[in-house]
Amino acid sequence: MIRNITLGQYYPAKSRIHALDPRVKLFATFIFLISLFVNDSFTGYIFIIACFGMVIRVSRVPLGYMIRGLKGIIFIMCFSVIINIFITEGQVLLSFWIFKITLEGLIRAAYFAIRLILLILGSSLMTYTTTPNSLTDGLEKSLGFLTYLRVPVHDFATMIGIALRFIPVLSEEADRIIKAQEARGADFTQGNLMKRVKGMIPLIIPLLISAFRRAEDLALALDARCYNKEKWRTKLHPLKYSRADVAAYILLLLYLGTVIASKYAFEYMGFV
Amino acid sequence: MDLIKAEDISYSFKEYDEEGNVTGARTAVDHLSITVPAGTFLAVLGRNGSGKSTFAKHLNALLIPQEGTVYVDGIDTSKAKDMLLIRRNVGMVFQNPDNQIVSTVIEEDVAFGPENLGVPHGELEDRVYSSLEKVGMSEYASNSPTKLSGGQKQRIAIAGVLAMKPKAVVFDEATAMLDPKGRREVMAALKKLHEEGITIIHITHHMEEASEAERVIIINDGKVVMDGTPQEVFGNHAEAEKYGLRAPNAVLLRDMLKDGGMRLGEHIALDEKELAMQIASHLRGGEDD
Repeated sequence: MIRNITLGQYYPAKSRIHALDPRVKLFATFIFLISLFVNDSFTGYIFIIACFGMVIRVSRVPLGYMIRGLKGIIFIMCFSVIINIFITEGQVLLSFWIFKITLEGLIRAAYFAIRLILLILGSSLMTYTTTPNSLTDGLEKSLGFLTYLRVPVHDFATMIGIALRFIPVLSEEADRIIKAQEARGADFTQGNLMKRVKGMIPLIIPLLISAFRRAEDLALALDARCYNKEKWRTKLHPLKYSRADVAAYILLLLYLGTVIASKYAFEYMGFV
Repeated sequence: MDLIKAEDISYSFKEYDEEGNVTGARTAVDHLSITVPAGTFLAVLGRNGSGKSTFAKHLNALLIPQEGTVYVDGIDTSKAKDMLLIRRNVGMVFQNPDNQIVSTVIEEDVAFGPENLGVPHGELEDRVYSSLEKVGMSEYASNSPTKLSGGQKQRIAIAGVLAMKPKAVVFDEATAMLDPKGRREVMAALKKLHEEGITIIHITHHMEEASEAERVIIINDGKVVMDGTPQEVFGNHAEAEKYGLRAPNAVLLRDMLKDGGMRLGEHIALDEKELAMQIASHLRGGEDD
């Protein structure tokens, strides 16, 4: 049941984007998010979508696969688009009962939808092209400066790593428990929402208990393998920047510069 | 030289009622003393709840004795500053294959121990790949551990310990959750380590596995109740049975044959193959093996 979610999963392929350093990809996602919120013109969005489209092409992740990942957010998106259409004041196009549809509302809703879709696609492109492990490494390295503020960055990275390691273990366990409970007459598929939520209890309790047991074992195993807080730690595959990474950084800065510059240029020329 | 030396150690667990009040204490290890010379293959036997696993956790400072002292390579395990040195010297392989693998990539899991110890990069790679080679898992280096069998996962765990270059490895019921094939794989890896001079402490309740050791101790109620070569311990299997243990099949069969009047030599055959040879030589007319 957890397995057919494509959002946030790794899509194995050999591409230039896959080969980039995870720190570059994290930075790129960050820049992309900024550019989405800085920009407020349709021309700007065309530029952003064109650039993003090229990156998707290079990444070799099929567009259909990416769009399927959007399924999970359709509800939230429709909800916020509708709210935006109705609550924005302005030139009234259509009105019935207490509702008014305004031109500004439509434009705002369209902007909002584009922003949200690009936001989701942009950040999921990062997870599609980066293995969970290198993502964790990248996060640990990029946020390393927080160590000086006494944030246990390495501990968090280890936690994320272990969580990723145990997702398949626990989902297998959940399947096993479901089968065992079904064999004893439990029903996870019928009844109304309330009934189904209640029906989950015989699944969740044993799963939690076993997860705690695993955590205890794992804590011992970490200790036995010398897990510690010292700074001397080394890495089997340390992150190293290549020339492509440097080029990517330059392109990203150029991209952000263009988006910001065009915003002010348009304002100056009196567009918007 | 004695690699591990436990002097009169005791450890007890507090028992709680449902409100969390202490209601009593259960003694798991009770004034136990033992020395293990470097290079030994020692099997530790005992029924469930005998305290053998609690004892094992004292050997690399996962538990510190409440009374008495454990020395590893001459270092007192209660000295917290030498903790990493002790744990590097005495590695541990646990019972559940899944719960001791920390990474989603096998080679990175094997590297976890030496990374924590700050082994420099070039040597780190050597250690990881040679450890994987030793347990026969090189071809899986860049795979995920999820799809492996229990025996394979335990071999990864062994490689992870080996990469720390330990002097001793404790197998804390490492074969208990495996099928016969997985058990054979782990035992083969274990014997290989022993041949390379690493001290092995194998906690188990499989008699057949214990019969391959050089020395067997039986723990009951937190005390060492029998200690000797497999020959000596299984030769007195009437006593071992008092502690909830059953001698290997070959030993039991040999006794039945003797009771039935077959004259076999004094040497106690510990496995089927050895016993078959004794019977064959008896049938050929010789009395001794």
